[in-house]
Amino acid sequence: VDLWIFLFISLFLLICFCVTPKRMHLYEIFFLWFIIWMFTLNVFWIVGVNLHWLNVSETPTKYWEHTLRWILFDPLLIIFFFDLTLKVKNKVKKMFILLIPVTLLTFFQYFFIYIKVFRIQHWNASFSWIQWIFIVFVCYAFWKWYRKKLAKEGLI
Amino acid sequence: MLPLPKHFDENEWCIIICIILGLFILKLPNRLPTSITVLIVLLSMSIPKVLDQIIAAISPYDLYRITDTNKYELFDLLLDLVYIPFGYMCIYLYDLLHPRNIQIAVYILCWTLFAVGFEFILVKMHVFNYQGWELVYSFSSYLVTITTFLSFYKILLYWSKNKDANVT
Repeated sequence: VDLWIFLFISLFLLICFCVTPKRMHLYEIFFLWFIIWMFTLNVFWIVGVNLHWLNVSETPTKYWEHTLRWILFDPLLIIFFFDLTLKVKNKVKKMFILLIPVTLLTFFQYFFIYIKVFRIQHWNASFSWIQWIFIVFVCYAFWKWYRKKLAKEGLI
Repeated sequence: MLPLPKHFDENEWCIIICIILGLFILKLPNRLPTSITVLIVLLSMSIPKVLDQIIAAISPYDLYRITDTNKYELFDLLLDLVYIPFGYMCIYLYDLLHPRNIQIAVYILCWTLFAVGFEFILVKMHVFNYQGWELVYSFSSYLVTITTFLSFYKILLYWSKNKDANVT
């Protein structure tokens, strides 16, 4: 039941994201989606596969909840808030907006620990916070670089 | 955090040689805009990574192992670079040859056969160690992957040509 609820929520959020007007170009969305995958997977493989600090459940439904999260939910959340940063000009406000997905992703990671998708071996909230700060801010820096390329080509 | 290989053998050499050979794409004249090239490079790295995560790395399925151990090694990370020339050349030649109608299907089939052949070499060199996966499964996987890849490129081109439709 958990899996189907989570699938429904994720797909509904995806539909909402697709139908609402955005400030980003489609290329930026694709770029961010891929780069977020790259970073979340690399970080997860180091933390989960190599260090075993955070182990993902091998129960198929729990495993697919985890898969759905990194494929759909996490990138969607980050891209939504990145798009929101284009609305504001103040750098402090931008920082504040970027910290919202960090907090939400940390919260969801803990929620997933609570519903036993992850098993903790050597993990705490500060690790989670650092992990998401790293992913969100590095992706933000790459996105800014890519945005400049698009501006140079006259696409935005 | 990223372990080095315990034995520097054929799989590590194979990855290094593939990366060096892949550097020749830098010599090719530019045909694609930078914005599209970046996305092609990222997609070339993302698709295998996503598939590795879903069916190989940590899953309950664990159908194949990459390089020597189940750990995420430095050469597993470097393997991502091997896929870039593959994806780039697939799009580059498509753009160069402009296949139409049935030629598109033939083009996809040729790349599928090439990809399976390349995977066969990687298996022989122990870059991939099957634990339930079979080479024959790769035919359909590459057929879907390459079709997705070319469709993605077509979508990018469509958006590039319709600059006025920038609002997503």
